[in-house]
Amino acid sequence: MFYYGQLVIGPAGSGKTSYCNILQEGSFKRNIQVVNLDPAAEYIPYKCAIDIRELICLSDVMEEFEYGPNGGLVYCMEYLLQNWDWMQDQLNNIAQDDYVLFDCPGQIELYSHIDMMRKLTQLLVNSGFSISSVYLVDINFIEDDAKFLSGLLMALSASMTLELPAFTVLSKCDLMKDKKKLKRYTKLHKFNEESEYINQDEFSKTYKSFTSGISELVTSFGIGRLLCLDTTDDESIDNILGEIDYAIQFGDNLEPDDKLYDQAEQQL
Amino acid sequence: MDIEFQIKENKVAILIIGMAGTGKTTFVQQLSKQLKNEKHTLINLDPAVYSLPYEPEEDIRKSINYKELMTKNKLGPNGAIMTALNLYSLQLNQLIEKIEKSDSNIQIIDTPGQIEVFTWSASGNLISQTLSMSMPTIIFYVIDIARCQNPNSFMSNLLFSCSIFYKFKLPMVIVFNKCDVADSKQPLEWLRNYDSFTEALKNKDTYLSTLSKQMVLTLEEFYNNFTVLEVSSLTGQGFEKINEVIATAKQEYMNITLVDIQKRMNDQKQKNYDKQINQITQKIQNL
Repeated sequence: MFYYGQLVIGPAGSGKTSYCNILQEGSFKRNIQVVNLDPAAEYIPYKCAIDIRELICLSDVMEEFEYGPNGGLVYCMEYLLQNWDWMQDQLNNIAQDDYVLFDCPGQIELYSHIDMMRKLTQLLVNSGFSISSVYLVDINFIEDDAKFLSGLLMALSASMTLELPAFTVLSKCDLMKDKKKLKRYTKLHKFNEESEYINQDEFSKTYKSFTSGISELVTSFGIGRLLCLDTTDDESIDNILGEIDYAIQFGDNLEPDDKLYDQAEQQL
Repeated sequence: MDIEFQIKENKVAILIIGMAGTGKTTFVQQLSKQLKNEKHTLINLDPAVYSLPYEPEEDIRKSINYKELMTKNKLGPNGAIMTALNLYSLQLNQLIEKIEKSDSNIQIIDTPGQIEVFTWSASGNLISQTLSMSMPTIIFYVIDIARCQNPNSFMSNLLFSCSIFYKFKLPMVIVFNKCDVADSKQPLEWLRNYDSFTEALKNKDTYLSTLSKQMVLTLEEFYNNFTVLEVSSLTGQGFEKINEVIATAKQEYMNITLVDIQKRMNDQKQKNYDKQINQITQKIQNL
């Protein structure tokens, strides 16, 4: 049994749900199913194949146990792991050729603090999923170098706990008018060379060696390579999907489209 | 437009930042206990907290009703916290004025549990910036040491703290909380002695350990740059040097952050000045 998909993660408001929605609505040569794993989601624009809220809902937990939002979320995810059979049953309904997107909750605590998400991905891998993690970050974090590095570190700290092929996607690129700036940040190798000379303020001077160490780490691990997501441009989405497909080997076992072949045979 | 710019050097603001459940609130309580000889103000910025073990002088909950915000505007928990912070930052100048008038030297600020809400929102940025432009501001980043037993999650936590550091660009003190819990020695040993960290990673041969191994080399740099505090907020151990730590961080602010802020201010002034000159010359030419 082989399934393919992506685990869509990222901070609140980074556009995870919209990303899932756009992938489902557009035509990208695959049948896309979306699984909602966020028990706190209020409104979902896409068609859910599986919805965690059918199993457990955050507001119920908060009311019943008088937990705060965070405690409630942890409880929900724990409950999901305990009742994995339910999830497994639901997953069995998904056809083999489908491409599954998991819309995950964004709270960083679930990744680095409690290794709940790691357990979840392990379960998914065990049930035959070939998935990659896609970390979405907002466009406004490429404002300056320090912010950029901060965002990359955040992405790195979350994706490293999942132990999956990791991608960082820069969402809402259509809002960025300054294409030159965008290019500078998406081509990370160049950034690494320039970064030390751009900001000549006291902060960068003092932490120069630390910054260069960190940026070298981020770059060499490849997580710093950003993929741009521009919702108005299908090509950017194709590009992202292409990169991910390559990593998770999606399409390797697909049959070639043999319509042309049939036609040729008939003509003969 | 001239911006009034005066740093209150005798005061200091401490932003307590950390993930949910790391014990920020308990840390604030203990910190307040330890600093009882100094005049200090406690400020709570978490609109969603149910009960606090300390009595804050300034409280976001006084002016904003979180529950009402959630039901009235149909917001989710995160959205409501963000809205509450946004609303609160509108009256930020009142808070600053109050602090400036009062005679307390140390301001301890407790932030919302949802760490992203404070670090990646416009209002969180605004609050930290405004504070840092009126008095020395430092960050205490609280890490739960009991959650750092696995080398990978330890690394992940440290990476996140670096992320916070680059976001705020303020002097940062790393606080390892809950040191009274058993097995807290191990992670601290990793931080100090990176050979032991490599040793711990030896048995793990996953794809991420490779990253951690690389990170080890940066770790030394990390230890050189940040003040690390090991405390237990519950028992109060490790707080002996707290005054010293605050003083060094404050000094760091004076040497680094303040210089940058002044530079930015001067640039702005210069720009305004140039603009005025340009306008005047234009007018003269027109005449």
